[in-house]
Amino acid sequence: MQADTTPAPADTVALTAPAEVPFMPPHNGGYMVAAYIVAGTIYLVYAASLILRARAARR
Amino acid sequence: MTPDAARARSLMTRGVVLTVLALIGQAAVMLLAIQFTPVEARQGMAQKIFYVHVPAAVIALWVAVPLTAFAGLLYLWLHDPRLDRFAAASAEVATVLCGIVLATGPIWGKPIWGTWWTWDGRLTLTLFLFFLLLGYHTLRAAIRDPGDRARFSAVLGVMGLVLVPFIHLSVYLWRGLHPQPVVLKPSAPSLPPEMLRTLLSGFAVAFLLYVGFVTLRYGIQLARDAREAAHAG
Repeated sequence: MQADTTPAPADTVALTAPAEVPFMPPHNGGYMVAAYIVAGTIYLVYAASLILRARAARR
Repeated sequence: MTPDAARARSLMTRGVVLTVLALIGQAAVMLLAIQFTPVEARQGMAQKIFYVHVPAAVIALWVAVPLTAFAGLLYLWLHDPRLDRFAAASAEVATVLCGIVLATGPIWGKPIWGTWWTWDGRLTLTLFLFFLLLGYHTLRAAIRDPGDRARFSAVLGVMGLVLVPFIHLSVYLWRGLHPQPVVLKPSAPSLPPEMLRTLLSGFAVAFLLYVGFVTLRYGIQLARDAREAAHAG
């Protein structure tokens, strides 16, 4: 069976040689959303904790 | 109000402003990554975790942990409480950044490697660094005398710095699953310009977050110290 050498869609960028590029990127956006929510929550919770501690320290 | 208390108030105000700006910047970087950065053909959307994971790792390993160690080393020499205050603030932010690295890494690993976790050299050493930072805070909380607390935690802070080169070189030394650096390497960055632009924005925002958090945390500690000094006096 011949290797699939179909070019990647125009709105994608390959980090490796074109011959290894599958014709469609995998559908795994949910993982990205989960990671962004986790990172955003950690940043927000830490910022809120600092702001609350600053308010207590001002009193 | 004592000069230290006034300075603490000013630092806390500046810290809040910087932190809010940096959080807005972080949201903008996420939007830039999702909407205006191309999808990597083999990894799909999961590759975009890179724009949050890598800046947090780089700022933790190359800014927060080294500055904690250098402030600790300088404290051991000069015994200036400002250095101890800075080291404690920097170590706290390093812990948060390390937590983000350890939380987002496995979320990327699951779709790309097929597993949440593997005992790869870089992952394992980063986990050790995280535990060492937790130990740093536990040690500080356990010692009441400020001089002893500063001295012992300075030594532990330097231990954290010892891990950094091993973490960086682990991908070359042990050849595990973790990808090799695409930016922090001797040759030119191996990223298309659109991806590099988003990654560099991520670095700038993560650094601003570090500065905002440390300024705020330092101000809080200065305010507490000023109050204790006022009560003692």
